[in-house]
Amino acid sequence: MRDLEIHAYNVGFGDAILIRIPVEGGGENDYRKVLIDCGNSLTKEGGNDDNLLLAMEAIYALTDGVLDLYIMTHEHMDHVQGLQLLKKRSNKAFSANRVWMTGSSQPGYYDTHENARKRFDLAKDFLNIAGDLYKGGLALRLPELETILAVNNPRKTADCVHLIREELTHADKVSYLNVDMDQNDVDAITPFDEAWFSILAPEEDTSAYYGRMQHLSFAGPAAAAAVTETVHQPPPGVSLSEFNQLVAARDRGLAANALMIDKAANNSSIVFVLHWQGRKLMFSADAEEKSWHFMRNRDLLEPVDFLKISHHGSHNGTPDHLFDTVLAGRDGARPIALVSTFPGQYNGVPLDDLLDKIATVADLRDTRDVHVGEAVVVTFPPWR
Amino acid sequence: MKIRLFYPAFDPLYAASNDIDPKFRIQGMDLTLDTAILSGLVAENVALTDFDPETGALVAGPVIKPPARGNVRHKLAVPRSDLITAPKTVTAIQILCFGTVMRTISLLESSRVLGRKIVWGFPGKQLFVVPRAGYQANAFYHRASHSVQFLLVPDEGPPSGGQNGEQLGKFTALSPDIVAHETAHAVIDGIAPFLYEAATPQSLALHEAVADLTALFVSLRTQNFVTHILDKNNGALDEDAIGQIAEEIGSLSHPKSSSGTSKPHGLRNLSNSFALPDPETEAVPEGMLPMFSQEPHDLSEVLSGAMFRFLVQTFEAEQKRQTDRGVAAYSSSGYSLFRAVEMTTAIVYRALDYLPPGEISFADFARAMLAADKAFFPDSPAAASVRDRLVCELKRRNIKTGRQPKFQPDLSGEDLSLFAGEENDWRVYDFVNRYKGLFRIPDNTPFRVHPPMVAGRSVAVDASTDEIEQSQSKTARHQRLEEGDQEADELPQSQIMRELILKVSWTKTETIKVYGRERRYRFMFGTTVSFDLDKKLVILQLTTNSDGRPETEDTASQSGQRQARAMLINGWIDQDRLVDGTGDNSVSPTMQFRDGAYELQNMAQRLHVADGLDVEFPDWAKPEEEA
Repeated sequence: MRDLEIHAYNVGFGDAILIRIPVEGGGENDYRKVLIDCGNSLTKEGGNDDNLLLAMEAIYALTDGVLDLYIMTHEHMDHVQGLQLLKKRSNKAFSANRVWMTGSSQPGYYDTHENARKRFDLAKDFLNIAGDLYKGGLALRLPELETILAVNNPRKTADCVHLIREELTHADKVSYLNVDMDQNDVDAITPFDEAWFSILAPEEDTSAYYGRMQHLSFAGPAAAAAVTETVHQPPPGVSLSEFNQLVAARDRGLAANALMIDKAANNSSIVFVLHWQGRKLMFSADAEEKSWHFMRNRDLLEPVDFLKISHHGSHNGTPDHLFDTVLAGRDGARPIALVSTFPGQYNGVPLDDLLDKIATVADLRDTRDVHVGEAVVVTFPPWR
Repeated sequence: MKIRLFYPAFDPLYAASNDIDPKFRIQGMDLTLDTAILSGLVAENVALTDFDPETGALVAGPVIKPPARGNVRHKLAVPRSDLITAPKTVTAIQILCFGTVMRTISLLESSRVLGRKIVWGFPGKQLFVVPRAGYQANAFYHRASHSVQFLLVPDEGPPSGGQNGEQLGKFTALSPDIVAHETAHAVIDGIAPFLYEAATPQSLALHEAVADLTALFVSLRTQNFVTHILDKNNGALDEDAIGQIAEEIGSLSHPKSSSGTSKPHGLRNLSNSFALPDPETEAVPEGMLPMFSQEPHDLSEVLSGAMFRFLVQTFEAEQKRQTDRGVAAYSSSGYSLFRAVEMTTAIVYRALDYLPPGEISFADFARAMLAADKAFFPDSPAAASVRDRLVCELKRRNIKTGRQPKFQPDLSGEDLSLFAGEENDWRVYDFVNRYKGLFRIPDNTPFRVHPPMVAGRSVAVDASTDEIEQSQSKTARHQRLEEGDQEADELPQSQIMRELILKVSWTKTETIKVYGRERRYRFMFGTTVSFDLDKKLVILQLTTNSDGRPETEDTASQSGQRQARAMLINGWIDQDRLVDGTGDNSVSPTMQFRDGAYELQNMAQRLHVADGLDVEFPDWAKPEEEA
């Protein structure tokens, strides 16, 4: 039996992961090909389109543009942009036998899930006001908004999601997944027999993924118009540095609200374990604490052979309890952990302390160890 | 500097529904300060920082005029009449909010209460007052930004849509209860900063109870309000009216159910009968209602209810004493209320000053209150009856008081005055090290000595209330005090005692099960010892170290409190209120993993005046959809 291969591409800040599963009884180059996401973040060096294009070309060459399964874990530009970019820049299009998308991407989802719609609309309002203020001049005070706004850009994301839904395969081959799906139904939409998937997330009702919003500190059309002219000088008699702390705290509330939609989308990631020849390989996309919380409460977390570290190595993506469950090692064997990341895009992502800690219990692989457009390749023989 | 300031005498809803004459709705006060207040309303320890809620721009505060010739009192450029006719202009909101903050602080700093300047719980000199911080029926103290933030609830349109410069909406900054409450959180954080990181529900509830009580104390030291209340009932207290906290904002949000007994209006009602259920039987004394909730706001009502009842009983006892002497109930009511409020404020705040570092149970606080009472109201039949009343009310609420440990070492060879104001001074460490038994420091445990505090507090000498009363014109003194004249605050029969308060802390790790997994958490423990500097006597010794103490004493470090703490931690994690933290940790409570154990931070950050509210986006503030 040949090894299973995981190719994790250095795309800058984003994910593009190709799994090659040996076809039973097949030839030397006969693999089932599963592509999990492809994109990067649009802004700064981590969002450099040329780098993503290099990776997309490499994946295309390795698969001949034909996939057994494409999995869109969640609607973020750093996970969905690649197919559209390849089409625009190289006029190449992938096809897939099956497409899996996160449950809330199903057309009409928010018509049937009122709580999720309310939370989504509120979060969207916050994102939009943050966008207006950013354009109005808040960029100087809150530069980290740039990546949040770019990754969550609703119009651009919608175009990419539309391509995945409409152009990769026939409409009846597109499925929307959540944790409540019966295993038989998951098996039925799995386009091969060599491996099977257990789905750990997302929850069917994504309203659970929105945290508490901060109160509004300044909002409305007037705020966007005024922010450019607003020069914050403290009143006479007030320390400038202490006053700046107050202003920064107000801004952080705004950023936290803008980030809410980002976190909810991350938490709506499809998280799955791929079971192959006794191996358990876990792909957690960008799941954050809330999603891990539900997986833990459902008692779905157990030691695996491989973990794709969630959310590019942020502290939100790997809560402490994972060290006792998924990273605990199977039968004394150290798992392999893989991080796909790029520094300087978000504050604290990746968190070096966290990666150091993971490296104490797992063999850590990092997309930054290879050139842009190239892949870190992890291989697994069948379980002993 | 002497300055005339103003603050609201009534909650806006209460004033409207009781048809209070607008000219009585504004209370004036004279403040005498060591340093100047600058235009914009910037004092040495408090600064107004008003941001336009619609634009985020900083808005200048009001101008202060120097005294007229031959006068010494500074005045605001805005006359009182403007505040009466238009209390919701931007300037009026700024003045009235700032005024309530200053009134609260001056009340608490007086020699009859803390007897010292308040030190903030953050590394800065000024507390920022943000009167229009955003949109929500809420307010909060935020340590990381050194601020008290008061939010507003807009009407149908933007706040600026009013006529004649008046703002539209309901402003928490105009609620004297809410402003005093949040100011109190800031003051408490300065006195007992360890409560900010505490996780036992009773520790957090203590923060909340004292903040609510402070709102009560401020309102009952507001002459226009007191006159109205006593007039209304011919010298009797309308407990329901004075027990309600923040009627206007309470009527908007009503976030609390509190087992259904809190009256309508008001975020909370201090006139209540809640008691802690017995840990074994869940029983409460006859006539009381069990408080099963461990949510800090709910739980706080047990303690605030007890102290409210103590205040009312003290008022009634004083009034009875007067009527027994033939004074009409109405005539004696003002003085009786003044005495009751003064005594309750002093007991509560001096007890805070005595709290040992670490997590605190209501029982710990009760012991501190009794110690404060005993230290400053020395033994006499009258004082004993007050003490009995307090113990009796705490007992009715199932708050155990236990025994006050007493240890009086011979300090005749020590020069305690050397320690005043010194931090990390080797002499203080040396002293504590030599008296480790007094400080109940476990063996082989590294400890930290907190900056010593020295207070000059008035102590009632052994004089009866009769003598005190006869010695001065109560009306004149009352009038001066209500006007904020601190010099009137010294009773001839009182004397100032110089007191040194030393606090020592250390940490211990404990295991808590979170989702079935055992995790190590690090918690603070400590001891407070207070000394009469001149007599070199130990006034009190309080500790959160329960080693060797009987379980029945119910300290915060004992099993019942530990269970409640584990439940709170699990619940907050579950509700996304307590997060694994790295990076920015100033926004919400966090757990930081250090040296093999979790440390909790910013727990009290969740103590908004009204908890559990969500944000709604007003239609007029909604941004355009991205094209």
